[in-house]
Amino acid sequence: MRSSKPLNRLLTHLVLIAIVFIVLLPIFSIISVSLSRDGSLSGGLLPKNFSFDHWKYILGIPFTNSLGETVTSPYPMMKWLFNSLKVSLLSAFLMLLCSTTAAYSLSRFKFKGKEASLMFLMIMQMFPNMMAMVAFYFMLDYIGAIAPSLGIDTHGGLILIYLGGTPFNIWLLKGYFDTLPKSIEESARMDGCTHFQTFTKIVLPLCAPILSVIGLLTFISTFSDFILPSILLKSQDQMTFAVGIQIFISESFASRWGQFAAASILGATPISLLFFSIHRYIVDGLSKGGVKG
Amino acid sequence: MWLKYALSFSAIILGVLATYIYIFSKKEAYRFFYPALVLFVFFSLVPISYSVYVSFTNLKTGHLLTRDAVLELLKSETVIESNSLILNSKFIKYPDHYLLIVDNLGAQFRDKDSVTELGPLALIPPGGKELLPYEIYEIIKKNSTLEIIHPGLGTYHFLRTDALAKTKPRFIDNSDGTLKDTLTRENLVEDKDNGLFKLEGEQVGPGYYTNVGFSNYKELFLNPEVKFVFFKSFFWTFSWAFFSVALTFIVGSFLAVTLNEMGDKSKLIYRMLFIIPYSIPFFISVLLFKGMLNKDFGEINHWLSFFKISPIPWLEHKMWAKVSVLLVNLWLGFPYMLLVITGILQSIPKSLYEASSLEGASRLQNFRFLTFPIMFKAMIPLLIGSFAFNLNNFVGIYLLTGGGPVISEASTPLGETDILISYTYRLAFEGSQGQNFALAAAVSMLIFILVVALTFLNFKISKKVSEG
Repeated sequence: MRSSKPLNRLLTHLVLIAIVFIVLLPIFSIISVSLSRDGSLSGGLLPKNFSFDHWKYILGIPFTNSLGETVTSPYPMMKWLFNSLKVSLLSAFLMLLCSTTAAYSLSRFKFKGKEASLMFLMIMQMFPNMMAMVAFYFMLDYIGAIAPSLGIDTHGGLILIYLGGTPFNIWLLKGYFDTLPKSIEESARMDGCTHFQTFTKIVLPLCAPILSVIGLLTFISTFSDFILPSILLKSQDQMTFAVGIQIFISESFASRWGQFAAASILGATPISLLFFSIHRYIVDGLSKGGVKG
Repeated sequence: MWLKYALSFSAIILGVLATYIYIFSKKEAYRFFYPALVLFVFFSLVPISYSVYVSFTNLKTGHLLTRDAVLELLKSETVIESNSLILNSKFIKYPDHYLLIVDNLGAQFRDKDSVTELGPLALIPPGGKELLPYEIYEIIKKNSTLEIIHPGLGTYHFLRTDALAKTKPRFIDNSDGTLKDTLTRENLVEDKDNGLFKLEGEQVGPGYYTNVGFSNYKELFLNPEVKFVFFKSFFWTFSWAFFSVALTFIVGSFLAVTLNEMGDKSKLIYRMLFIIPYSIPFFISVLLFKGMLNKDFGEINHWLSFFKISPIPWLEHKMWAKVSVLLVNLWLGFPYMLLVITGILQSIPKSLYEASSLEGASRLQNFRFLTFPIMFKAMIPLLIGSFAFNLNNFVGIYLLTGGGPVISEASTPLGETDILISYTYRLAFEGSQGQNFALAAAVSMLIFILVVALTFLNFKISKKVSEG
């Protein structure tokens, strides 16, 4: 359905390009800010006084500042990024582990209370988490008294709480299992596989692609989470990227703008690339239930 | 307390279930489901039950302890005995023992088994080091029942780090479990409704938290000052969610429809460019906008200055702050609409358009009578979902404006852009007027009811859409 008149098409392109420009302007300017020495845009879009100082700052590389001193950043930004990657990766993996079996059971077996438990899962998922934060805090306090590596201010404790978000994945996965034909599993069962063997040898390999997509989605949303780690993590070395740079920039917007711009690009790029690598599947998922937005 | 009970109770139930499922039951379904059930119970159900419980208590600053802890505190309170001396003291540490020097009189310091002779205050035997106040404090804290036995005067306790006194408990147990003040000979009166102890009408010690029934909910709806804040935030929450959805839907559908009529290659390129904002983690985009919207050094006012527009107080002025959060949320959210609407447009069969063009419909008519009705109908559940998401879009508000600018006439802390969930956060975690967990829990219960209601509406509509 192309519009026939060339003038119309040109006009459409012009409007779209203008919108693209407005939409992407903030991103261009942030890149340019991160590369200019004084961390601001004094002229147009290109960095004035080009320098890599802000990048060196966030990567923890010593550099010479405007006063001629050699400085290294006192903030462990790379450590924060590493923490975030670690927590998100482990949460995504463990969550997949727990939700796959549950979703499979909901999809394949008939048992008492199935419909009700599905409904219940979904409703409970909607409870605003804000007050649960207080409960999480106390719970990790108790758990930490028994197992210190799962207490407050530990990554173990944070991951443990994230695993509580499993029900949402169960929904997504169950929908996928429902679309898989049962005949393959039935023939495997005929050949003498147990239920568990059928699950690990037949079903899991079949749904590896969707599992990796859901894993990546969990990874992205855990990486982007801000509230929970900001309440549970206290010491600077334990902080995740989101909490760390939020505190870093909130202390002084004006003087840390350049460094923050560089840090944002560093943190956003891997997530953005991941997103684009799976965005086709996300569109499917979005129209079925909404991920964010 | 509730949390401990809930945790142990669930642990027992889950333990019994595990035994049944993995040992006695033949149903494999349960075995597959069990691990997720454990996570769900501990990290969703128990915390939620805690929130519900808290919303019926008075857990807030001044009432953070349990009743037992408050009683314990009261019982450990001491007063100086009348007609007793206060002795100045110095605490000296030697390699193998301590020495406590008290005025000019001799006394003994008992540290577990070792007994140390005390000398006169002026003379410090050589080889020792006088302890600093904080070191003495540490010692006192470690041995709360530390007794100093004075040969002539009897048993003393530390009054300060540099003085001793004869003390006794302020309250003594009556046989019926109530406490009596030894000074005034009055009984402590317990106000069970408010969770505190009183002596002659005055509160003594901290309060404890207790069940207060529906009074938090009553407060929200009946107390004029709290009601004002709650409904102001309530109204803004709905306007914010509505305008967020409307704006992203308008921009998203305009782009989706426009792109849908273009060639495949340009369609793809534009779409990729437009979803870049959506691919960036929310918190990063919002924080970046916070900097860019800064009145003095922000890029946005800098660009506007090219058009001779004087600096706009984006985040400081109440009207502009609302505009800012909506515009930033538009930037963050329109790609979502673009993506889902594109999906819907692609599912409309081409034959419909062919039929309508045979009947001589113009492009505008096609959009008005064909594309838009189909698209909107399919979008209703997603629009409601997006509405529910924005009702609780904490990051979009909190990281940008912090809820501000602050409303000065509000009785509990509230800003012009605070939605209910960020108001809850303020009540619970930002303690400018103390932390009010109880009221925060009550507000989050109301949010929960709202969102569940919206979801049921959504379910009903989706069913109608798919059926008819």
